[in-house]
Amino acid sequence: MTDTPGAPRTAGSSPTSDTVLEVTEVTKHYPVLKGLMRRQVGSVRAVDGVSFTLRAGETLGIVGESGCGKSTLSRLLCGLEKPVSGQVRFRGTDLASLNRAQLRSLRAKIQIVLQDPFTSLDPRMTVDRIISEPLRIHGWGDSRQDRQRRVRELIDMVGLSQEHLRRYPQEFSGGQRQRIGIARALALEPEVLILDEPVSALDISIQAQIVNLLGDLRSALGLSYVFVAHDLSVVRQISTRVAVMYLGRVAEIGPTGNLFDQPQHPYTAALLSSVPSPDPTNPSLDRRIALRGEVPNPADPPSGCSFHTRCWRAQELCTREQPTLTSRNPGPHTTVACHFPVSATSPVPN
Amino acid sequence: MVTVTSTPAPYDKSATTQPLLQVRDLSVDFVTGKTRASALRGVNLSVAAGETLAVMGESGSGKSVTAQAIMGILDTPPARITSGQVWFQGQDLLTMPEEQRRRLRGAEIAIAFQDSLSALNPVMKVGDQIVEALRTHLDISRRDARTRARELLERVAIPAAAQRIDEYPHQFSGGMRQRCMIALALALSPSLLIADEPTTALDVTVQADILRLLREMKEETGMSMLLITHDVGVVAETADRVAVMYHGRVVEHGSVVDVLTRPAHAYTRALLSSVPRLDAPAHRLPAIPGTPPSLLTPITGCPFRPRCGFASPECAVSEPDLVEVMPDRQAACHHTQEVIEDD
Repeated sequence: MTDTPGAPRTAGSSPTSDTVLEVTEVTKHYPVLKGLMRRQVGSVRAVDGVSFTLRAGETLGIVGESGCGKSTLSRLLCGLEKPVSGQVRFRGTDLASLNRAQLRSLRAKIQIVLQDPFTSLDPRMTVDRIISEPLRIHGWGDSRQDRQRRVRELIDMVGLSQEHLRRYPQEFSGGQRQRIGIARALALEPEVLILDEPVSALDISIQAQIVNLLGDLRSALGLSYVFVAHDLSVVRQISTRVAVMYLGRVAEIGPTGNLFDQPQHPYTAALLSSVPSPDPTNPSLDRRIALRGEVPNPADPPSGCSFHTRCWRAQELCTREQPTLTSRNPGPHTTVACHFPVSATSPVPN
Repeated sequence: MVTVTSTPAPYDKSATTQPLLQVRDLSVDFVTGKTRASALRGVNLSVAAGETLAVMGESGSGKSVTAQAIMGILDTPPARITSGQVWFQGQDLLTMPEEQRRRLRGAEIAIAFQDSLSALNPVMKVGDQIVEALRTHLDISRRDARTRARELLERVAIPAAAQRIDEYPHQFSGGMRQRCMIALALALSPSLLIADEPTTALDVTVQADILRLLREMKEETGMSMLLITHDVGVVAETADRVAVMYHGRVVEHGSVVDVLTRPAHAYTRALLSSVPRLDAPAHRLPAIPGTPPSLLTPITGCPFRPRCGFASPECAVSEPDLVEVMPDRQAACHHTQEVIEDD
């Protein structure tokens, strides 16, 4: 692992002019403290050497189970957390190289949308104030009228009406709240939205509305998304590329269709096979790849490939050597961190 | 179209073919101050011995209120049961003395919740909780109860059960804690397990494990299951029959295969097509417009009408009854025929 700028780049992350975000070997550790003196006895590698690029207009889906590091990663991407090593570059600028004022103005370009944005907001603020707050803070436009016009434009953009502006958060349903959260995130004309589980608290019928809205806004405004979610079916719907994370590392990353139809990492294959099928004539759980054991403690990850303790394909090599993301063909666009990737013909356990 | 009303015949205690659980015309209001929300409006359900009935719906549909009313854990007030009966093994749970009902709960009717952390006692070892449940209901020595507790934990695949029996709930992972709760629920071999969103908080690989475990336990013990869920996939993988709820009523009911592959209610149909699919390339999801109507304002006509692509003037006038639309299938929709034929 290196934090030298210009370090060799892993496959699939060569930056081009339309690269919006470039993430290079990003690592975030949290200390594990113990005892009265809060002595550090170890560290949790929440995110461990993650690299990828996000191109303009693209949606990168990030999937994985609890504790895989996907939420820490989304906080790193918008500068809410600082990596211990590695870089997050927005349009070529390393977020870590900026002072507070610079970081604040750059954050306008990278906005984050959370599962329920209202849990962090003042229930006594009207929707008008909620959406206009970032405009006021960043001194957007020349006048108050400018900002009011912008708020009306935003509320329209997310499919709500002007009369909603006078109301309070608690008067809205989950889907409407998420629309307001999106309007607020779009206020300062960002280029990138980090969407952290944006639809997981919503009912199915509402979830589809928000997924469609996000798709429309992406094309209308030329946005790029990082879409973090545990729901694989939703991720398939919205993402152009997908990264699968396990214990802080990327196990596999590639174009959505390739990754879902021909998973190469055993963990990706197991994860996909565990999703219950809504078609009762074609149940999926009978054909599922059952993994042994549980996710290991991230403060004490296994040697070599961190998945080897649960993998049915693991061999001696996997216990010793950590695999790097490499292109394995015939899918040149997918890279996989596995010594023994699966193919359509590989036998699977159940 | 057959239009026989599906309101069941009066409950006959002596009949041997009665379902294990029968909910009849159950209505529940929530009253706070001057506002009254009708959470359930005449719900009919039945669960036969050995079968799994899924109650599927979105927030506010009434699925959880139904489960809570059956279990007798509704907060009253604000909730008020305004009508209905819940027949279980020939007795109406709603009119029986609380003491009798408490004995039934746990022994004959067990409950598995979404959140095992709050369902288990945090300051009591997992094994002791099972021992306590066994000794409360059975004449059994502490030693025998402990052996039985270990067997139960082994049965739900807790590794090293003999050691972990003496651990506290927080020492288990989410999936393992869910297993402990299932072990506790099944300790007294109940004839009915009510599972309220049992896998909703779990990761997908853990969810698959728990669904498999529930299925195995059901096959092994022959118990019935009432599964409350919002997840179409969970219904498809686990249940025999499904009741779809919307705005406090059952709007469609039938076998899982029939309902999910050939819906007869416009809502079921719209809901199923808005579910994103793992095996389908990205496409624009046919979302249902709008939001469910508020439970606070009484509505005339079909509550799904404002969001429905099939709605006609008739739907604004009268709320459709739940009627038999084909053998073993009921739907409450004025446009069932069109919904079925529309492919």
